[in-house]
Amino acid sequence: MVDWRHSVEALYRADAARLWRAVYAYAADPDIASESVAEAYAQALRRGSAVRDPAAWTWRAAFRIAAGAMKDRRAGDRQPVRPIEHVDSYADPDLLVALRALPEAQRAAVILFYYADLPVSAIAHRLGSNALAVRANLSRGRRRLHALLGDDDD
Amino acid sequence: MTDLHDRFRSLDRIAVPDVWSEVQRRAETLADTRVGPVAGRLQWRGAQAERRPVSLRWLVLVVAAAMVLVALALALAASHRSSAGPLVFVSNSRVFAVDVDRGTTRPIFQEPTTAGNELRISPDGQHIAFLWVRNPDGYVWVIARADGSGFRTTGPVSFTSGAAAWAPDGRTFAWVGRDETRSANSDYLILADVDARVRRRIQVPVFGTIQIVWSADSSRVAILMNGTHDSPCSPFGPPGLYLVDVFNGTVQEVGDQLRVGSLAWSSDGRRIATSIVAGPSGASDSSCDPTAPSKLVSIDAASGTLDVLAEGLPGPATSLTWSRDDGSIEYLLQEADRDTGRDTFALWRTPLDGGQPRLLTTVVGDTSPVWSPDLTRLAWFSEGSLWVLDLDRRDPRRLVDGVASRPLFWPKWSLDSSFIVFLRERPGPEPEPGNSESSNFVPEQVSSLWVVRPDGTDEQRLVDDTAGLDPESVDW
Repeated sequence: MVDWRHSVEALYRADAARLWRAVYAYAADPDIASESVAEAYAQALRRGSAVRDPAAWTWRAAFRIAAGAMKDRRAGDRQPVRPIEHVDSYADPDLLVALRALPEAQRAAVILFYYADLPVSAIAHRLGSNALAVRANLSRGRRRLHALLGDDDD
Repeated sequence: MTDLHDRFRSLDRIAVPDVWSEVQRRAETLADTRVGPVAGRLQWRGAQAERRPVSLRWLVLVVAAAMVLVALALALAASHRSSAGPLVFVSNSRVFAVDVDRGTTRPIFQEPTTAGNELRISPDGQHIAFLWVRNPDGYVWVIARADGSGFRTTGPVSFTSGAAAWAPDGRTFAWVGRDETRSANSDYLILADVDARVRRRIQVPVFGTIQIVWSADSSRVAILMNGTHDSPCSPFGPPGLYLVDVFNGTVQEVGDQLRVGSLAWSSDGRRIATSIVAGPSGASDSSCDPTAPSKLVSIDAASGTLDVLAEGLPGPATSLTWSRDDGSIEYLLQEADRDTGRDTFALWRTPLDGGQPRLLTTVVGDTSPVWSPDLTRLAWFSEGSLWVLDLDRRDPRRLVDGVASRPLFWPKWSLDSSFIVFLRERPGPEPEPGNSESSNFVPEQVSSLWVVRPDGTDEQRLVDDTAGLDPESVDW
């Protein structure tokens, strides 16, 4: 019998750090990143073998949970946007600030493309979108990111 | 120019908290509650017991025994009719094969962390090639369609989306990508045999969105850089058309950064027909107008010289094809109808002997019409229906209603032109009320895969209630 818990833990040890960083770049909030990653893996653990592709599923779930948390946060007390908490001073602060200026769909697309190194079709799969929309978001997000980073000479 | 890949790698320097104990605590809590709908549950006909492998094994044995008893009869029946060939698709990272003639669907390949899609079935229907991703590496697999057995490339490779194609002889699979075992800064046209062993690497000066089009004799490859089959404009970089001789490894650019969309090889492999967007050569991306006038040209594959066949076309020609005698070129020109705002597709024929282009017919559609492999019909989607035009009768006919016209999913013909595959979709299950843990899971579309003959008969549902089906992966 397959030890599902062991498999999910192995996946967590191999992939959760990248997922956490990707969600952190997406949500700009370490609490949302931790919440989303923990919830995604907990649900994967609970669902067991019903999850066909745990690696893709946890990314998809974590991004959706993060999107829901960001929506709840916006609909809540309407506080001014929280300053970015740089978890590590060696990270690229300009990049994180620029990412926050992108619409969420563009932000998710560029993070999965440039950080997770996924092809467009896999990004579409993980975001529950289609390749045409991902390509459009990726193109717009890339141009916007270059402009925000002071590198719009393309 | 800033390399965004490098900047994003800085994210790896961010310290990450270990939340595994929180994962376990939440999992224990969830054990006492009902969880929401599972994204991507697949059901296929005759395989409801897939979650019970032991039972399935007995079921398969019984079915197999029954199949053996009727195999001879089926084989005899099949020998007297055309075969639609195998249809394959990806759902929830598993590769499925459909036998349309028998109406059976079965999984043939699964890996725990597979993200494989963009399936490419070989022209002889015997092999399937696809990219298999295990972060951060990708591997090209070639598997047998019959049983899923197969091979993968030995080293990790990168893979430009869409840039993969079987040679018409069915013995070579080619893609454009970076071979991580070699120089990481160069792109190669990589040629692999059916056992996935890399036979040859040819360095090519391309990047961005790539299309590979083989000549009919499998001796040459045309590589379109940053143009898609329905548009010569792409935001991903400069354009270009390159010809590669796969035997001697020579690479030749045609013209100077030509903006090319659709192209077609002549049957003798000596010429290419394509349309070029008029305008300054080497212009920047921002100047590319996908609706700008274009020229229809014929390119000599050996010398790279261009012959202009027609000028001033209102936009790029798409769905280009040569007539069977290589004496004329047929193509579609897309225009927006000013009254209705809908797209019209005009089918033109231009002879190569200097004659005038002739308008054959015009249809209205939501997707560009797709040729049947025997070049006798066109199929397209329009307002939720599947349409077919018989070129002999030139009367567009609506075959079936209620089809899903997803972006990047066009009607797809079987190899023998006997069937067309299409999708139907409906909303997926709603999240269960009162379950906060599942509140962030939005309803998904679930898809069913159908086929119909081009005369409108024999409509069949192959797969239903498939939340994870990737429409772009469907191939046959």
